[in-house]
Amino acid sequence: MQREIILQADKIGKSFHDPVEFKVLNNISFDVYRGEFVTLVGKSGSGKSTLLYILSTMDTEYEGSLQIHGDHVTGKKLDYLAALRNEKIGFVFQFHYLLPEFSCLKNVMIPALRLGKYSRKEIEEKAYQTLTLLGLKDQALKLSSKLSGGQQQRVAIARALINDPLIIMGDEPTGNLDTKNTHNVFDTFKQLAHEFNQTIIAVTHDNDFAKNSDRTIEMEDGEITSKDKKFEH
Amino acid sequence: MAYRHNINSEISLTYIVSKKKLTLVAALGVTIGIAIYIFMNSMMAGFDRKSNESVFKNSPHIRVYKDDETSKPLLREGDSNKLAVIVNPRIVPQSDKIINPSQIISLLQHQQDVTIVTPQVAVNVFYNNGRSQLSGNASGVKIDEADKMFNIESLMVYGTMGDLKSTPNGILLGVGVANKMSAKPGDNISLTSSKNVTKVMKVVGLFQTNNSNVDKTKSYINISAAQQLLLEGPTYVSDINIDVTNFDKAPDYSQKFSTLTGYKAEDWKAANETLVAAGKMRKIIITAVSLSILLVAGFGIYNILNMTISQKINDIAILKAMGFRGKDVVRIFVQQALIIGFMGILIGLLMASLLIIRMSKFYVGGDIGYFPIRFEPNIYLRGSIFGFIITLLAGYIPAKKAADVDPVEIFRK
Repeated sequence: MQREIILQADKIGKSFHDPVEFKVLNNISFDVYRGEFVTLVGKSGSGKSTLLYILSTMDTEYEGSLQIHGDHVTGKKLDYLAALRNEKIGFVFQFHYLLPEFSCLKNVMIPALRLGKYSRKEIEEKAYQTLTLLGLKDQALKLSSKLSGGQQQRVAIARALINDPLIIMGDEPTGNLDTKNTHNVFDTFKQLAHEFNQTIIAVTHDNDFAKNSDRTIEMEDGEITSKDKKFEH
Repeated sequence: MAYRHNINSEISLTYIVSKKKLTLVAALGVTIGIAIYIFMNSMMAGFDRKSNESVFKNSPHIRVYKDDETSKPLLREGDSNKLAVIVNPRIVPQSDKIINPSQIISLLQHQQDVTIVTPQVAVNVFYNNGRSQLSGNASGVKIDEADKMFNIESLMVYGTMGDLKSTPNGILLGVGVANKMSAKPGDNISLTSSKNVTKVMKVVGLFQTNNSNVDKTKSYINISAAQQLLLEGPTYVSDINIDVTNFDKAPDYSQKFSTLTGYKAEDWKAANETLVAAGKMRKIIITAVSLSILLVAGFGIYNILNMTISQKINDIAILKAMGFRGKDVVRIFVQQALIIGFMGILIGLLMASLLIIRMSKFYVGGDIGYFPIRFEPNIYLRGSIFGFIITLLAGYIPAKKAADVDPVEIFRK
């Protein structure tokens, strides 16, 4: 069966000019398929986070070209990219970035309210479902700032899922979590990829985390050294 | 998309509610700014109205009269070969009579925007009191028309104005004159004119303008009596007084009437230049002060938004990552500014009204009486509009900065 390409990076490069000319990314090309759980690993300074932010469409200053779901996004207007992110990409960061004045439920609902595809009632139901899936049903109406770190991170994941995105991008999504919560998040990601056919691209330091993903892309000094790194068991 | 959820307003409202104290302080700044702006400008409008009122008690919007002419050289200079024949210009001794006044009056009456046209004969007189004489001036008027123009009826303190019509040699005296002459209605006094005509007049009433200079010199008599005092016939008229619909525009008409009649037409602004200049100065000062206060209120909003934005920089970054556009972020914060501004403006309008009510009950005395201040709807409107514009600016500048936040920079910290 031909697998559907969701994201295609073609000869992506990026340089920093300040304080001195420095090439962070060089000639990066790879494809990501639907339903794949991909991790990006590499030492710090290898350019993996920089690459992730280019893939996320938030960083628009790069060379080469990027296609998301067959849509050529390089050089598109900022508003267009914002709408694209809203609909097709969900984000999970090392820090949860929840809005502290809102309830967990509201936090999860915000991207869907922005999208406006469903009525408020439908969105609320969907948000409840997603929170239930992540074991947070009882916390739904609490202020997000009142939750524990692990819970907050799971609310952030629920928020990333609310619009049924094609891709979920994570920048060290388990970086601040203890082992138990890391397992939790990992299992959630795995379930999303395999049961719900969602694509996941995550940057991580954690070798265990990477090892258990479908595919690991390794980077060093701005270049890809392996598109499918094998870990020794 | 199928639904338009107003998520931007929801976020800005939540920000406001979660920062009640700060919001209140910012709104209070606007309140004070608006209240002071409206109060000061209403006060100025009151002063202007009072000052105009006192001018129009005594002078018309436009006065048409024969100006003194200065003799001109028979041969004009300009050609270096010629010499001016008359070297000593002086006032030509001519009568100050307006020729064919009734025709001019009916001509003026048919002009657009002219409300009242009335002839007047001004006479410099001495009020005789035994051996002492009191100098002053008597205005020979058609009392009905003059009343429409100067509102004499409302100034009467003793006797009736209407009696002047039925008494050909009647006189209405200023209270100051009457006091010095110890004259009261029913008494006879004698007037001597500059043409050395002495006439006995019967006092029919006393009036008070509250301008002591006027009260101590002025009197109204019938126009025919004035003509007799000047040894002139019934067609003699020295001034034609004109009122127009909008006195502020009087200078526009005076030039036109001048060419139309061939006589000098002087508007009240030209005749009261010091007063007009003082009014202008007052306006500049009050406008500058009140606008600065509003501006300071704007800085209050600006500061609080700037603070909110630097506290909420993470929120802004994640909102942008989740697909909020730059204009959504601008809307969130501008809306916050507008809500603060509207609250401030509303309370400000209320506070201005309270100040005005309080002030209008304050008795100053003298010429002025009660403090000349009242509700001026257009000042309320102007204050609200300025408040709105300043709020908008004070909100937009920080909001634009928030919209330009680069989320990647925040996430990578």
